[in-house]
Amino acid sequence: MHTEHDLDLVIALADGSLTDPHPAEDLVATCPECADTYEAYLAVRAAVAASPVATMTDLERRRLHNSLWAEIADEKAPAASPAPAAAPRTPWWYRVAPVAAALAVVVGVGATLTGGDDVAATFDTVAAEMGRDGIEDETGGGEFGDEESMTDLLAAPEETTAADGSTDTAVTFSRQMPLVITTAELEEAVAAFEDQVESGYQPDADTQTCVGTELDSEAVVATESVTLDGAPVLFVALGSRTDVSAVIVLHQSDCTFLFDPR
Amino acid sequence: MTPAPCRLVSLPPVTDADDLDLVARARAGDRPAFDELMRRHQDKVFAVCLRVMRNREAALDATQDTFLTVFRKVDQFRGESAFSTWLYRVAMNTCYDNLRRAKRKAADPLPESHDPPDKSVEDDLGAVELRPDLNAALAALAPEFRSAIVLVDVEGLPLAEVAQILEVAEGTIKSRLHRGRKQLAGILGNREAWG
Repeated sequence: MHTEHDLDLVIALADGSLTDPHPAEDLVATCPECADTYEAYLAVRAAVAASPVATMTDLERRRLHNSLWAEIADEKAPAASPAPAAAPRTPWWYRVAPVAAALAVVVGVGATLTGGDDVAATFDTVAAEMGRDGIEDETGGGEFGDEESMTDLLAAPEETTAADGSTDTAVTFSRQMPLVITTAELEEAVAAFEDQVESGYQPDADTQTCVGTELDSEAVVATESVTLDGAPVLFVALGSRTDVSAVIVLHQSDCTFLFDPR
Repeated sequence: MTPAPCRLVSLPPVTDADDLDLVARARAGDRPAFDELMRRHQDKVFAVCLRVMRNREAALDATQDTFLTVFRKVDQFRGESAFSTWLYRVAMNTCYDNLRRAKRKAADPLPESHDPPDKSVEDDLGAVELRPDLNAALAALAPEFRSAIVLVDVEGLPLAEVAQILEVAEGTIKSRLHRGRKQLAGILGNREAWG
């Protein structure tokens, strides 16, 4: 029969924290259950010691901060306008894409049925119908009616007044950059990144990774780690925060250029 | 129209403040203070999430969700425990909420069209910075045993703090550790212990 003290003593023996280990050693030697406990604890300690400390990379830390503040900004932005209660994580183009596809199908069917003579009219009809009803996204929150067009999404940052009277800038973006993309989405993501940077979103710039002779650190104004077709790439904005001259994309593994419009 | 520059860039001298000062400042809307809190604790939160979630991307999401919850609910922190204790509690709850959600999602039928499998996600298990044996063994434990072992044996938190984080008695934590370690050792086959 064991008491809590016995087991504590055994753990203390395994920790090496006993000044006089002999009583605990005797216990382990004479009591099978104590020996089991001792061995189990040593096994766990050894396994833990053999596993490296889990830590984030600098890029992951930056991504965490950027994503968090972007999400908070997304939540704050609709507060001044009648919009969704919860900001969806998916970018706007992802949410709008099914609608665009449906629109294209309807227009195509319309064109086929009318022999192609009345495509524009069909498009107008469908667009007007969708504009009147509004297009609700899959989260049930966002709605793009004909009065709340994409130009509303392109609105400048809204100023809100905090409790202490100071103003706070809620940053909004015309486009939100996806962090996991495919090659087909690369150009769209590059444009979205440029847009985000010029909107003042990127709070940091990695001037260490992949900065060498071909990439001048002084020209780097913002960076973002993105997964492209399963591989980590780095989006780098060059120029200034108000006027991005170019966005280049590099493989993080070897810093080779993947996309360079210069 | 050119948007105003992002205010997050400026960082007032908050690095010397203790956690409770930073919490008070964060409550008043001081973003640099919240950033500093995050910088202080993000690696620990991520480490715990990684052990619980077993997937790097999921752990990063859980870490972000944790700090988002903290940002939203910082008013609810009453200072009865250390901020880190409250933060770990939020992190553990977030991880298990996310796991439950992922499980439900996995049980749902796939949508008609979906993106091709993300290779980075497939590779995550291989990339998790845990020895595979420990990783798999932890995953095989019941959540209550896993939580106790991750917090005490892996993260080195004191029993009393873990009891507060998991909102159970210290004796319960001891019992969970005892049973969890035995199971874990059985799964690990005691190879590392005597090798």
